[in-house]
Amino acid sequence: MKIEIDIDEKYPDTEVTIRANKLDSDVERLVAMMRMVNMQIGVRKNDETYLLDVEKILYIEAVDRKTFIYTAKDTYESDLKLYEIEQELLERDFFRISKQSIVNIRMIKSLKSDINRKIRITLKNDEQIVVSRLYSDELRRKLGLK
Amino acid sequence: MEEKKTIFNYISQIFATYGIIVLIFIVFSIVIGDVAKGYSSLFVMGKAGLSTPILCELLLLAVMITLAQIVFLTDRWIVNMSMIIRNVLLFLAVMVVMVIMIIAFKWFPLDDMTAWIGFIISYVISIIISALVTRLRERTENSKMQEALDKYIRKDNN
Repeated sequence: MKIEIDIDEKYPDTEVTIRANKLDSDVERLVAMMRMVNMQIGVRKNDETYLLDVEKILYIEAVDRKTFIYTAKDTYESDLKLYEIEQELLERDFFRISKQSIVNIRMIKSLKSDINRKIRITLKNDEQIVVSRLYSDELRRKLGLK
Repeated sequence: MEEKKTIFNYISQIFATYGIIVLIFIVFSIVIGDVAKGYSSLFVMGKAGLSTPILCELLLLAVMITLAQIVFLTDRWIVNMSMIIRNVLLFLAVMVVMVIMIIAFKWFPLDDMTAWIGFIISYVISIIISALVTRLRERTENSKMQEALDKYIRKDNN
């Protein structure tokens, strides 16, 4: 893939043009990652594609090599891998809580210590998810408790 | 990336428990050792301390307590269970182990009802103290975490 960057004051806005001979999965993933810069993520549900505002996401989970995105009302699927989404969203209040999931910190309602020094998270929709032991320490650090 | 516990973690856990048990029994031996000398095998040396066989029996007790903690207080074998039920099962399991050890090692005369009542009362008191300390620690940590989360979200909104 050829990458060309042209920085010049004559351009009023940042513009990205993708030229390809076909719309394959690489191009789709590239587009999805760029959407995240605008706080949106391309997701699928029932064979339809949506642009989802990142702030609406509760948490993201990888199951059987698929990536699922949970909001208060719906579950979507993304073509991006969990680590790719994580790289884009880490600076936007998302935090990895286990090998399989990352959570939107702003969507956490409460935190409770759980067995084995884990943390049980209650989300704003009252769903509960568990932060694994290793990431629990990271979360404590992020919250300024360590 | 989950941090795995090694055999050395369990060994250190056993010896931490063992240290507490021995300390408690040393205090008991200093206080009631001479009185209980001819009565209980635990205090066969009276005020002088604990005998080697008793130290070995207490080590076995520490091993059994650690095993019970691994079974009931981790998700190694039991994944979905509330903390209350886990603690109840832990205390029941440890109590069964202690009764078996009392009988096996004749820590006190088995037909002495007063000794059994004393054992049950002291065990229940220790359970209540332990449950209260655990609950207090949990509540403090939960409230600290909640405060930190609220502060984090507030800071982010500004």
